Amino acid sequence: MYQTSELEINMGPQHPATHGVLRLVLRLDGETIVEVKPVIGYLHRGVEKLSENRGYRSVTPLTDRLDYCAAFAENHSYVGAVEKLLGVEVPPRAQAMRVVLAELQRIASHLIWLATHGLDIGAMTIFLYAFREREKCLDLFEGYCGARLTYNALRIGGVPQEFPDGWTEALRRFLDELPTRIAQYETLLTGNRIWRLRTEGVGVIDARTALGLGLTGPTLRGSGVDYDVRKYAPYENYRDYAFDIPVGSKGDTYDRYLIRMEEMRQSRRIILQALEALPDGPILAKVAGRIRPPKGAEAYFMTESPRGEMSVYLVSDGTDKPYRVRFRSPCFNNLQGLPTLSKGHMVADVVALIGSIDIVLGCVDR
Amino acid sequence: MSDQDQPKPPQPPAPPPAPAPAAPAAAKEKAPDPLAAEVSSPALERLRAVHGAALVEVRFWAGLPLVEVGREQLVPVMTFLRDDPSCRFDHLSTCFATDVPERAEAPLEMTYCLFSWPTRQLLAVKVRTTAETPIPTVSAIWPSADWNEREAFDMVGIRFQGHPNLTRILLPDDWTGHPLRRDYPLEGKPGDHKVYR
Amino acid sequence: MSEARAVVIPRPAPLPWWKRFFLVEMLQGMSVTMKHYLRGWREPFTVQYPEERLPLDPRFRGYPRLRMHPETGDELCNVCRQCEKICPTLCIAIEEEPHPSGKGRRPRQFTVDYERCCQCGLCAEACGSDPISAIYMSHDYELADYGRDRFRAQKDRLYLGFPAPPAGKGKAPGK
Repeated sequence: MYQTSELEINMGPQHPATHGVLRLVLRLDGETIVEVKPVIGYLHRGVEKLSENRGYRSVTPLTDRLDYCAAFAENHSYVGAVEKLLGVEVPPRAQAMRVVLAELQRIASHLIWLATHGLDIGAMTIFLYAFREREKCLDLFEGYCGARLTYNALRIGGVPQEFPDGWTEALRRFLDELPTRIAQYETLLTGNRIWRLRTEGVGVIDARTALGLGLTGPTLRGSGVDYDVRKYAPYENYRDYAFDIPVGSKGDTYDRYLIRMEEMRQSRRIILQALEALPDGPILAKVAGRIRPPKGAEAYFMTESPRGEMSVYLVSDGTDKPYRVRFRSPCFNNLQGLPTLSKGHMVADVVALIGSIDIVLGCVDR
Repeated sequence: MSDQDQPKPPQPPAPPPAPAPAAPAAAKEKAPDPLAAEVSSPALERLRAVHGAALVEVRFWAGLPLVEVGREQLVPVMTFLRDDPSCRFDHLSTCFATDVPERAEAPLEMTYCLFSWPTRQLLAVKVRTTAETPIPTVSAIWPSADWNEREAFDMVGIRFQGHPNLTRILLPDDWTGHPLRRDYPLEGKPGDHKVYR
Repeated sequence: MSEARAVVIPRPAPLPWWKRFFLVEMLQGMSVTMKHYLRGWREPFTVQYPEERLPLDPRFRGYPRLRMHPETGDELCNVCRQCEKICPTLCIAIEEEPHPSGKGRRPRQFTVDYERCCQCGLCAEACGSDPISAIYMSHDYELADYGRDRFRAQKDRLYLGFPAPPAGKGKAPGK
């Protein structure tokens, strides 16, 4: 028999497959992974500290920069927390509009995930197609709020503006062609032998471990837990819509892929329902010009971002600046599961796993 | 902090500022805010019944029960909250530290946000400490607390007893100070991040 | 009220031997590629920037700029400092002086640090001038220059804008 010695290598922080500036210290036995140590913080900008020094309204643009692939979800979470703190009721029309935008954001975010995840594993074609559809999502967002990535699309108490003329029609056109596009992606990947060999059985995690590690979103639902904030702690008017929460059966990377593909279809379903029953009325609730929640007020607001549970904890001390803002980022907690997921796999599988937990480093490091 | 106190030059002619702050202050003196009303929470009732002595303070805000427990009882209370059939908080959503310098005897505060999917309850548990006194880790109860506690150590400087790997997580290992402390200037201290700029 | 249902996603059956042997999925994949390749000849999705530019949406948020009163041509800004206050990156600085007409104030110098500006649009919303906001989100998005000091846009630049970019031919496929 031969003896091998363990080797420690660095993957990142400048590695194209780590989705940003993630550094992984891999301890390898041959090509098998003995231990993965994620080293994070390269993109730490101190958003929590910064938020403590800005007015309540000025924090929303800062939240755009957390998860820059799904900025709307972060806006939503922060604005929702302030509304909860103040006890503001969002008008029904604004709620429905938020749902439309949040689900559109989910589609856009899952598309960029699909593109980069495919690219990591070696499916280059999917990258171009998914980016094309994502581009259309971004065009829609640009039409609504004027920005393509950092939307700042919400205000405390509602939404700042109505959908522009022709916007809902453009959205419907996009949604009409989306199922055929998703079917095309599935032709390229779902039955593809290489794709299946690279993803099936990779990074299997059982429900109990996943729960304990604080995984949320598709990463957890892959293991068969149907935890979705939209179902268990409904916000806005998610209660009014019929949709499925896809869950996996094996908990591997392939399951997580299937779930995200299905979620795009479900998001489409929710948007169509919301557009159908878009109520009339005001879009912005009455909120005091200078927001000063009473001393000792604390609120926790959870939303289902495309990556998992994104929540914001706010503490007020009676001034016009938040005393403490805590962003519970789904990526930070999901990344915590990476060492468990990747134990015993090959180095190349780590790349597939980073893609499958869908991290955005801006969200991890805050 | 320095930025917060910065005087804003002249008076803005906007109409709302004057009446808006006065209204909640007056309301607070007269009657308690309706948002602070107590809400029914089966988990909290169970907790009161079993670990009533451990609870230092119970408050409510906007339907969220805020429970403060003593440092020593933290682990038993948390284990109870996870395992009791009427609580079942199997998801530690997040935990984070806050620096409250006005409370001189125990300025640092750790908040644990627990969510229970089966019973759909939310609960915030708080524990107070000082920079010198460690608090027991809950990473054995919920492994997800591991990184969150490291972040609390990194940002505010709370020490956790029994934590498997209590090192800095977001900041470089050789960083000095804890940025989320109130006395830490917003733009950093001069000698702090010269190397990293 | 309808509750969300949890649905277990069916997994496809393991690949049969003939699929493992023949490269069926490769042909399938190539057929998708070919379809798009041929379509790409007819209607290309790519835009040849900078010769071609995508049309910007009316709500597009570029860098903030100042504007005059549409009728009188007077300065709109009345130094209420709401923009300065709400700006999350603290990139706006206003020096004020009394208005020559003796009523109100006007900015002696108005500086926006374009290096810090995050184009969130809050300043334009907070602006308290009458009848339209003095500060507005322009459609300028190209910002390249030879010195950092050039990014501290002052009144001249805020009113007149940047040197115009070379005129685009402006055909935008896909829109």
